[in-house]
Amino acid sequence: MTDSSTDIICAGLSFGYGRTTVLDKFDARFRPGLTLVKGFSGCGKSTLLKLIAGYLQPSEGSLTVPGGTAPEADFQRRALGFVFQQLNLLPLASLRRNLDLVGTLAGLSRAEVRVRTAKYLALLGLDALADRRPSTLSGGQQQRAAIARALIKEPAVLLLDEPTSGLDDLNCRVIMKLLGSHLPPACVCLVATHDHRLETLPHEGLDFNRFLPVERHLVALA
Amino acid sequence: MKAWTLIAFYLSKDIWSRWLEHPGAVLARLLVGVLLAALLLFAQAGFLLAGRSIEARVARLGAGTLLLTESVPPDRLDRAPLGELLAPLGAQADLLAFRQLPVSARDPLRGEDCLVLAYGRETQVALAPLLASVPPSGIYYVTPHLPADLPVEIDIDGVLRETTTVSPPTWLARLPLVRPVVIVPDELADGWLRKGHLEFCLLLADPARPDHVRALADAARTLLAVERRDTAQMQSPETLLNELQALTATRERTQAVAGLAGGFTLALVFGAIASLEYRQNQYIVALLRSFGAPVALLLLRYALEAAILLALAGLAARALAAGLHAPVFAFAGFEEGLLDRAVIDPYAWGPVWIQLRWLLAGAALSVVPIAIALRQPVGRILQ
Repeated sequence: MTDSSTDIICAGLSFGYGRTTVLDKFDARFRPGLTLVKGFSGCGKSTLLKLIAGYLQPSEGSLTVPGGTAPEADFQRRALGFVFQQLNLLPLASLRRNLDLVGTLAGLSRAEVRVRTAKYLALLGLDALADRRPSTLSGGQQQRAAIARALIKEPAVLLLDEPTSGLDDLNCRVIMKLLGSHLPPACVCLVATHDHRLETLPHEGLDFNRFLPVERHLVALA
Repeated sequence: MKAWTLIAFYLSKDIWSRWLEHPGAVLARLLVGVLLAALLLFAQAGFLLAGRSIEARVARLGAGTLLLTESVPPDRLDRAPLGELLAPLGAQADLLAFRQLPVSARDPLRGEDCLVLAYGRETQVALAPLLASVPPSGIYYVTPHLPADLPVEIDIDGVLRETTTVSPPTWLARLPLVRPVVIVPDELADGWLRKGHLEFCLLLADPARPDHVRALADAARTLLAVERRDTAQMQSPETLLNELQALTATRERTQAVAGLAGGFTLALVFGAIASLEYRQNQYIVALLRSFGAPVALLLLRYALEAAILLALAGLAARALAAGLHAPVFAFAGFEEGLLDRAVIDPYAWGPVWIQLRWLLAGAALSVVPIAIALRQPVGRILQ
């Protein structure tokens, strides 16, 4: 039994950078729960996440996000959490202020923002660092803070682009614990990764290499 | 609304932080703004002073005054006088008619020879307010050498008569007179008038209404033509007014061109620096957009920064121009009386705003490259 209003549906999705095709008529349906999107570097995992987020526009095909709409500004504001590979935090704001800003933009009340900020900072082991600016934190702490910020709106769609790459085991375990047992209910979580440590989590898998056009596959293998 | 406040607060911190991080970029924009604003303000002040100087000169020369003269020999005394002929125009302008008499007068105190002019009843009415007071004898002694309202006896054709001194009014400068003047009523001049005289008529119109002056000149020409008074001559300020109008038009055009050039230069400089700063900062801006922050608010940050810098530059330029006003324009040769800012203040907020609006338009234009850059999809910037 599936509920299409909670799923992400990609239908005939195509996208390219200039003349380089990255996705060619890609079809997929992502249901609530954790899905690991695996593949070579440059195979288009990040591009897929950006398309789902509405940060890129497909040249062909359509995308439906939970709620049955295309990914637009309101979806980005209220229902989407996205963690990028690099420079995720606003450098001039404290961690608490980073979370405040995103929560408030999502339309949460002041009380909700306060409660959730405390909850997710604690869950990611950052409660003692709440009033520090990102530049005073380690890379792992910054990445955890970015995940906390993505979770504050308890999004219907959580997209993480290489969230554990370059992180030590301790930071990785904190993130894995969160992904394993603290995802918001009915949240479709896509993690683009080639970090094998995440394989131990219960997940759906999507091998993205099989969508590569043959010639790019050969280039990637060479 | 709270979200907007939070973003605005963050962006204001961002502006301040970038100012501290790159003071050179801020100072460059301020310096360019101050220089352009000061140049425009100086140019405007120069035009204003030049215009006022010309207006004063034109007023002294009688820009609203028409002068008609006709020689009346003894055998043509039966013709209607010019003053009577032009009487219909008295409703549109002050009409003063004088006749220069073939007699001389002498100021016994100063030993100075004077011209004698006679005026009719219709001119008496117009003359009284223009000369401020009416002496009991009806005889005015117009001299720049004595204080006004002084009772003085003047020898007119061998007879001493009571007069009152008056300072020469500006319209008198239009009459081709080289000596002090005694003005007497017609009743006193009847005997002399029969010997022939030179008739002067002055039509005093508002010089601020050049079209009215031109219409008046046309009407006077028509009246002379209808009455076939080809011996009458008219001196009209139309040429002078045309020149003044051309000067005003040139001034407006020049100011507009200078303003446009200033605004365009400011847009180029501010735009170039803002674009460079945006490139350094585009990841953060894209991050804010990825949270759903409105593009308009992000664009407003750049517009606001340019406006703040321009306002600071405008204030500094105004202070600079006001401080250097007197020495600069005295050096340029303007009369000292014109340089008193209590008389003409080119740096009052009204005229300053007229110039700064061009620069403000330039500042607004400078965010256009940012607006274009903000159209780039977030996904192409964020990694």
